[in-house]
Amino acid sequence: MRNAAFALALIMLVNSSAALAAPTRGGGGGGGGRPAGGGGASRPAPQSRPQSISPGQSRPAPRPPQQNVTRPSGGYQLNNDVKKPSGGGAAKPVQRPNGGGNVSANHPNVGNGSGNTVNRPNVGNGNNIGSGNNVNHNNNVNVNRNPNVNVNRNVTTYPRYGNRAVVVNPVYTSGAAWGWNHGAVWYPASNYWGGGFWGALAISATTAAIYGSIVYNNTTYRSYQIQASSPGYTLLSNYGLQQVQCGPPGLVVMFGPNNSVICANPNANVAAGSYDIDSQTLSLVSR
Amino acid sequence: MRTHPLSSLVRVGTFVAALALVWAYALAAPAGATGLVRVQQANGSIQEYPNARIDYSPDAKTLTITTADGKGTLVIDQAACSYVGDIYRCLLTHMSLTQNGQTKPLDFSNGTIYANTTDGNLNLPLSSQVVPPKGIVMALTTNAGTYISMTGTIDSGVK
Repeated sequence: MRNAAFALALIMLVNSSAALAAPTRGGGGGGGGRPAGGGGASRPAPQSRPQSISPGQSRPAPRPPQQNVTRPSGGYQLNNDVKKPSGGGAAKPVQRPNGGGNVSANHPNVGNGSGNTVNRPNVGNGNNIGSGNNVNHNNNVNVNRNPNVNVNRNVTTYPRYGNRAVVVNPVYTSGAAWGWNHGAVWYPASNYWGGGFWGALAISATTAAIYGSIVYNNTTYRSYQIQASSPGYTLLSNYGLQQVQCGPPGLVVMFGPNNSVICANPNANVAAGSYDIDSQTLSLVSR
Repeated sequence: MRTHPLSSLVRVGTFVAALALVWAYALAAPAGATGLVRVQQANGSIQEYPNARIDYSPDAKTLTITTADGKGTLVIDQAACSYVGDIYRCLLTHMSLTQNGQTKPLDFSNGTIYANTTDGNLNLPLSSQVVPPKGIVMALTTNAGTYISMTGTIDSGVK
């Protein structure tokens, strides 16, 4: 009888200890009850957070205060890390982090020597972003431009894009310039709408099949049906995207050369959102 | 040794009561998960914010990290996410700080969030660090040279 009572007490004690040690459900096997992701018992303590678990204890002892480490109240001490107000000037642009100063000499559509190619403003060249009179362009202060938490499957960042997220072309993953074009430089053809990126449209834009339009930063971008075997067609097929009418929310909106835009339904490769197109690597760069 | 006929009933009742207490304690645990936020300033000083509340709003599509005293909230509302193996990785593209009645964008240079949405432990890519189930790890640097890190767990919503 006494043994049974002892066992009962032990069970209650273990249950209580387990409840105390587990701040959330699960936790992955009793990793010491550390609240911050300490589920793995074999996980080493992060730097400057020595474990102080005494033998036989299931909870860590209160951590002694460390030098230089404080636990302030009143919120985060990040006063120096927030963006400064733009000063109220009407035309003063707010630069995107790391957006400025990047010399993107390798950006598409620059310097093809033809002299007659009109590049779309603010495409790719980080120096253009927010530097003109386009106050709202690429300004993260703006609300609701793209509040979605995107889901992209093959994302990386490159300094030349100002560390913007790049959805690497799943076919030309090496990212070599012009790899998608068999190593040959792709020259925009100004005679064609969209620089020919979306197709060698011998017909005028007004007669091309209109695929809706979008308004972005007070500029209207009209979308046209892409032509098979065009660079843009290759891009879409690489990503497994299918062109749809622009306009509805939740689409993949791709800005190409010469104020062109193409929309597609998101898929497993590309999440909904706005992207610039790097026609060198045929990759999508998150805006 | 004789025992009172009611004694076994009392013991059972005690056991049930203890179980109920345990259940009540477990249910009373915070529904929103918590984590530890660590801020290392450029001058080397370090501030820790334990028991920061981590919430994910599927409607607003934002991840918020609020200090235990509720005075400050980091709001992550833009990120480009992908899967690295089974780990969900998000490159932060925009976040802000809500504090003292004001919301200001955080001037950060880069940042990454890793989330383990599975039911098993996962290693961070090329790292021995283990992210427990529902675990979340964040690290970012600001242009002022401040390092902000966070580890914790999140109950749901990260999909």
